Order: sequence, then structure tokens, then C-alpha cells
Amino acid sequence: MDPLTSFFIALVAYVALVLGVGVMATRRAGSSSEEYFLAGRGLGTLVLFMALFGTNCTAFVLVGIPGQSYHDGLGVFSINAPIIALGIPLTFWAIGSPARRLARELGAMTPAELYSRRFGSRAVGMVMFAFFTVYTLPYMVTAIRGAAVTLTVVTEGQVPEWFGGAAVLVVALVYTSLGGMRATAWTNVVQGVIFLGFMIAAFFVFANGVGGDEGIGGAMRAVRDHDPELLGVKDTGLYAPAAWTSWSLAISLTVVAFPHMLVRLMAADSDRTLKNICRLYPVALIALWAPAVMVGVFGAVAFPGLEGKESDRIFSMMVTEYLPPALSALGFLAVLAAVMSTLDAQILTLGSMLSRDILRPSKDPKGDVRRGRAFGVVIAVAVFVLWRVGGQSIFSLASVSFSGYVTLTPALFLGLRWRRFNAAGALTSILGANAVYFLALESAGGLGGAMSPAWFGYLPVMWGFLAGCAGAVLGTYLGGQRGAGVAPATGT
Amino acid sequence: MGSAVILAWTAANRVEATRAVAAAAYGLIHAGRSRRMPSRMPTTLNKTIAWAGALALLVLHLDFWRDRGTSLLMGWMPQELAWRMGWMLLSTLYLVWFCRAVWVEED
Repeated sequence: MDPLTSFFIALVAYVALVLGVGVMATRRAGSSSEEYFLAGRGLGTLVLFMALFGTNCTAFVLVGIPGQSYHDGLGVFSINAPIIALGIPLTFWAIGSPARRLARELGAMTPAELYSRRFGSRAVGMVMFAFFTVYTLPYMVTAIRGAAVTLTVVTEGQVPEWFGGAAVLVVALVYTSLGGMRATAWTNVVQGVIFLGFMIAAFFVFANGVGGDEGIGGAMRAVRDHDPELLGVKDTGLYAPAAWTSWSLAISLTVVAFPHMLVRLMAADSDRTLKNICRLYPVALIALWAPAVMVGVFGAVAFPGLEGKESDRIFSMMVTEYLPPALSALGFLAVLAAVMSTLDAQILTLGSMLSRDILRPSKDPKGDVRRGRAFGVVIAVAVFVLWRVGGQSIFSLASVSFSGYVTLTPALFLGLRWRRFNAAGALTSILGANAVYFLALESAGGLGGAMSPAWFGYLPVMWGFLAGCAGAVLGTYLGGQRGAGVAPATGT
Repeated sequence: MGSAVILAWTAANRVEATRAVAAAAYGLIHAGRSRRMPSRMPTTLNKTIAWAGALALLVLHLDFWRDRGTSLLMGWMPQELAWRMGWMLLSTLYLVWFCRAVWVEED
């Protein structure tokens, strides 16, 4: 069977599988808005873990990280994987756990709604909604482009880019609209198994391909003989001390501030479930990140001489070179699965935010669900149009967005952990942090400077975060007790 | 060679391999779970240890003081990867302890 036929068969099977899971989840989805948007606040350990992990891990880990590792070697693993293995679980404890409890208590279904009710201030909810949306849309556009390019490359141009992107959006939209949070969570289980399983298996196969009969040991020695620097860490650019420190802050804090991650944490059935997830998260991160980085490092030996962004093709080159057609089809499906597992959560979350944060919650229990579905379509159309007409600037915005979420974390954390923190503090924190963040970006070279040093060698995200902390304290004390709202329970 | 052996063993012993993975995941989930008082407040000592542990891990992550060599340990494991894997093992143990001793369940 030729590779193209294998891929089409695998693609049809995959689409049928995720749509089937979506249909199975429809039975309860329409019964209430809580069921549709938060799966009845009843997700257990396995499903929630895969939902969080699938949402967290985008196609960037499968494609972008090998591309970066091709040039930078193991340093890519060193600067990213360890700190997120600790930072993400701790932010689940610091923000996710109290957010889940308070959201249940206040009947909130979106992050912005939670903080709006916490402070008794619609302004806080609207400002949060605005930043969540502005930072999430470019992210979605980038994911769609990645999926579309993958489909075009694999089908040797038989599927045009615009059609591939539209098809991915439509499939994700259909199963998300059918089953809401429950459908996206269960499809994430399928998708997570595909891309995690594939990466682990691919690591061993690629090691055998590069190392010959000596397997992993042979592959490592081949890397050492080719370029020993790939087995170490650079000390310039992002790997210089100040930039490294800033990046550690960014990558460990940003994930919990993704609205599509926070809303999933709010869907957990208990604190015990969240604890279980925190124990599993580091292991899963090692299982995904180590192979992803090694694909790039082994690729540098197998295909030397790629320049700049050319290395982003290393994943597909390794897949095509070392895997039989049936397995290489699975490799490209893994990329699609990673894209869709994030995209569905983003569509659902932005749809729910439009439904409940911009409009007031409907008195009809099914009214919010209908609006959420309609807004899901609006979001999908908006993403498609932005992709087709936005030009290169929209892709520059994606890296701005990744760090930009961090500017919200002081308000997200203090809103749940500091009784005195009020609406004035939250607004000052968010607006001040973003003002400083964009000033620092300007100093670092504009929209493309999110990962370049701004002042004193530190990245813009560091300055935005510090400004957010300072703004929170100043705003709270200068704003008096107005907008203190509902004080959160402050356990640990 | 090592990976080929692992793959071959996994293929030949799928049931045992599945059980081993399931047992490892179960053990990780249940590791350190207190059977006595899961929602008791953390002691001051535990809070202090939690802060000190997080700080120590952070210092070990910001390891610009360390010689980041490129040699292979045992002929196959890059020194840098071994250091980071060790760090991640430590942080996993820290998280298991943290979930038991510091994180209060409030359901």
C-alpha cells in the first residue's frame, strides 16, 4: 500500500473515531449549561489528565521542538521540560484548586465569570475576557496553519491548505458542539494516546535508525561524533542566565493562565483528582519532551545542513525516512491529534466566554448551550478569516501571546489567595502588566521580540510579571475596600 | 540494541507490559496518599520544608554555576540529560510529598 493511501485510511479512521466519541457524549451535553461547558464538574483522574495534557501539548512540541533541538541540542530539553514538570503542577495547586472550589460555590463556568463574581465587578470580567481572547486567537490561527501545512505536505498537495485548515476546524467544531466539554475531554484521551504513544515508539525506532545495531547508545555516540555541542547547553541567547531565568518564569506560569486550561481545572470532580494529576504530570512530560527533543538531535546527524526554519521539517523528514508507510501515516495523525486536542478546548472556552461573559447568563438552562454552540461557529469562522487575511503579523502575535498570558497570573493568583485583593487591584495589575509588557516588547524589537532580551538581559515577560505584582498591591491599597466582592476561602 | 530488546520484550509480553505500566501509574497516583487525615492543615514545619524544597529545586534548575559537560555517562547517557532527568525525579518526589503533606483537600 502506498503512503498516501495509508494516510487517507488512517485519516478517515481517526475522524470517524473522534466524531464517534463526540456523538457518544451528546446524550448528556444538552441537558444544562453546566453539563455542556464543564461536563457537570465531574471529570475524574484519567479523563481530566488526558484532557489537560492534550490541551497543554500543541503541535509545537511535536514539530517546533524537534526543529529547535536540531540547532540547539539538549539545551531545549534543559530549559523547558524540568521547570514545567514542577511549575505546572504547583500552579494547579496555587490557582487551579481554589478556582475550582470557588467556581462551584459561585456557579461560575468561565474564568472571567469566576473573577467577575469574586470581585462583584463586571469590569474585571470584561477586561479578563478581552485579554484571554486577544491572546488565544493568534494561538488558534498558528495551530490551524500547522495542521493545514501538514495535510498539504503529506498528501503531496492534493489537499490545498485552505481546505485542510477548514476541514480541521469543521471536524473539531462538530464534535465540540455535539458533546461540549465531555466530548472534548474524551476525544483528548484518544488524541493524547495517539501522539504520546507515537512519540515514545518513534524515539526507539529513530535511535535504531541513527545508531544502527547499537540502538540508543550508538545514536548518542553518533551525535557526539557529529557535533558534541548538541549534547550540552549553549550559553548565549535564550540560554544566557537572565533570559533563562525569565523563560523559566514564563513557561511554568503561562499554562494555568490559558483560559482553556483553567476551565478544565474547574471541571475536576474533586481536589483529590487534581492531586492525582499533579503526580502524573511530570512523568507524562518526560515521556513526551525527551523523545521530541531527541528527534531533532538525531535528525541533526541523519540530515545535516538544514538552515534556520528549514529544521522545522525535521520531524516529517525523520518520519518519512525511518518509519514504514503505515506508521508514518500515524506520525502525521499525531500532529493533527495534537492540534485538534488544543483547538477543541479553545473553541469551547471562547464560545462559553462569549455566551456568559459578554451576554448575561440565560435563564433557560439550555439557552446558554445554544448560544455556546452558535458562538463556537463564530469563533471558528473568525479564526479561519484571520488565518487567510491576517498575514505574517498574526504569527508573530502567537509568541507574544504565549508570554502575554503570564501578565494575568498575579491577578489570577491573588484573586484566589488574598482576601483583601479587590477589583481595583485586579484591574491595575492586568492593565499595568500589559502596558509594561508591550513597552518591553517594543524595546526588545517589536512583536517579534517576545523571546529577545528587553532590559538588563531579561525577557519582556519578566517585566510584565513584576509590573503585574506591583500593580496588584498598589491598586488594592489605593482602591480601598471597593470591589472586594466575595472573599475566597484561603486554605492551602 | 537495548531499545530493540525492550521493543522485542514488549511485543512478546504485551499482557505483562500492560500490567507493569498500569501498576506503575497506580503506584504513582496512590504514592504518599494519607489514609488517616487527608484534609488536615499542613504544619508550619511542612510549609517551611515546602518553601525550602521549591527554592532548592529552583537553584538546581538555574545551574549556571555547574559545568554543563557534553560527555556520555556509561557510554550512552548524555551528562546533561542525566542531570535534568535526576532533577525531574527529585521534583516528582517533591510533588508526591507536597500533595500529601501540604495540599489540603477541601471537598
